[in-house]
Amino acid sequence: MARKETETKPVLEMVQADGADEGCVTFVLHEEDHTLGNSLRYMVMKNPQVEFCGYSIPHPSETKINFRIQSRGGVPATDLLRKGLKDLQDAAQHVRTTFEVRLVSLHPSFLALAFPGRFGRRPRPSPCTSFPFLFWRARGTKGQNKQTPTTTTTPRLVICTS
Amino acid sequence: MAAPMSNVDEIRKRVILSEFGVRNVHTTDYPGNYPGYDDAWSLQKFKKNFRIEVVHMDDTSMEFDMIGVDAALANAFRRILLAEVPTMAVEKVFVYNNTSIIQDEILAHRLGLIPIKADPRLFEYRNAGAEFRDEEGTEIDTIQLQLKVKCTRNPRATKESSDPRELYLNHMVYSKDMKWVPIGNQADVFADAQIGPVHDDILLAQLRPGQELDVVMHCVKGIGKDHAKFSPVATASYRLLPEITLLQTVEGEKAERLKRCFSPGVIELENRGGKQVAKVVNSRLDTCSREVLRHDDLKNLVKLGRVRDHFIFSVESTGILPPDVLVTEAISVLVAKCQKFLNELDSTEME
Repeated sequence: MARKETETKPVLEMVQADGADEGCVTFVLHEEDHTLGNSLRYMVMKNPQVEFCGYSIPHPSETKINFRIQSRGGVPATDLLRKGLKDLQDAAQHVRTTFEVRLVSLHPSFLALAFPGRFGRRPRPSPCTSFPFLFWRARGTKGQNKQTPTTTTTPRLVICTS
Repeated sequence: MAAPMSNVDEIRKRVILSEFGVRNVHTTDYPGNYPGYDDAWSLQKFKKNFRIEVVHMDDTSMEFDMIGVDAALANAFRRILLAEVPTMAVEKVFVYNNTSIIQDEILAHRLGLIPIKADPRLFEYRNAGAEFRDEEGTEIDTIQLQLKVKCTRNPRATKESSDPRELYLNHMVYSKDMKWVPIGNQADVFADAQIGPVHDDILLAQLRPGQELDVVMHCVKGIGKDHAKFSPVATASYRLLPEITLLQTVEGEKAERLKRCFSPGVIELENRGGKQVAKVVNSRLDTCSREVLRHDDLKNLVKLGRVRDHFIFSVESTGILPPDVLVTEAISVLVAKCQKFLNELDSTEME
């Protein structure tokens, strides 16, 4: 998996039994839960090339899921996972587009709310690279004059609320 | 009476509420399950069937129908709304002075739960992890608020008064006393944003003369999965559209009783040839109580079901972002999740 020089947490791992073909793979998706697990399982199961698909959360205090795919006729499981992710993404994008079209027809000010800066009254200082999925940043154009919050004297106590 | 449906179609498209349980709960329309049906995923087919109807919308809440989608997806949107759409909330509380009777920790917890009106999309996440713990926040990831209140006696109070509202000044500390202290260029960038608590009238503490609160708060961007204070919604839920079908004509006293088994407005009586005949008017209003199934003479006259792919969403915002924006944000989160793993798969392939 893609790892930087400093050991970062893996995002996706593949577990395969020795000698098993590449059609039977358990993927470990880190930092995911039922949200992606169940919707992705649905999408993968909608593919006729899939013989079996299921997921589990091995332990409630570990934020990862085991996502198992078994294919028909030796199709690589990675291809099926990729198709599942693509299908899910396409579906979600269509839901978003439909929702946005419906809301713009209801109240035109929706665009200004959904994409702050792009349609707002006041132009933001830094540009937006790809409309409409990137938002204008709070960072100024000069940008680098970062200032730390003003703390005059040391507080008696600092409490982290979470 | 609705058009009759074949047995297979009923299993595929309806959840049936029967006397001793709920049938056909799970999605079964996967390829290979039903001979003669093409259940493979098709974006074209999805686009053809999918609809959204907005039923109600105001500044803080909305109700809309999402039609033609599976529970797996609808539930993903709901879960993301609750736990993965970011907001800004008080994360660190610097207590300079607190002589009120409310303990520092309780006060800090209370401050954390107050919704902060600031557009989270204009801020970055603060670096997490031990190595960044001592790092100070900057204008791109932190909002600073200050709460400085001191209670005094009211010199103009009458002698015989016993009402605290008259006797003291500043004895009630409200969320409106949390004042925004801009960092760096924030004063220019957010000049028209009016950063501060969403609600002005949340009581934070009560003071007595001489007692004082002096705290500085740092708000950061976070998600509900980490702490519920970051959740952008008060509630986000869905229910399936109820469907009530009368299998026979129901008249007279039975019709009257049938009407009373359901929520008001679901069944109305119609005068047909001098007889009162029951008619389903609006099954959407039903709570699906299944009361009708307790009446032996009525239970075989109706069919209670729910449409499996018709979700009635209800989203109540905390007021930080409007509910419609929250929904688009939630969908974007799911799209981004898919993209993250697609990128990961592609980069693995390269190696």
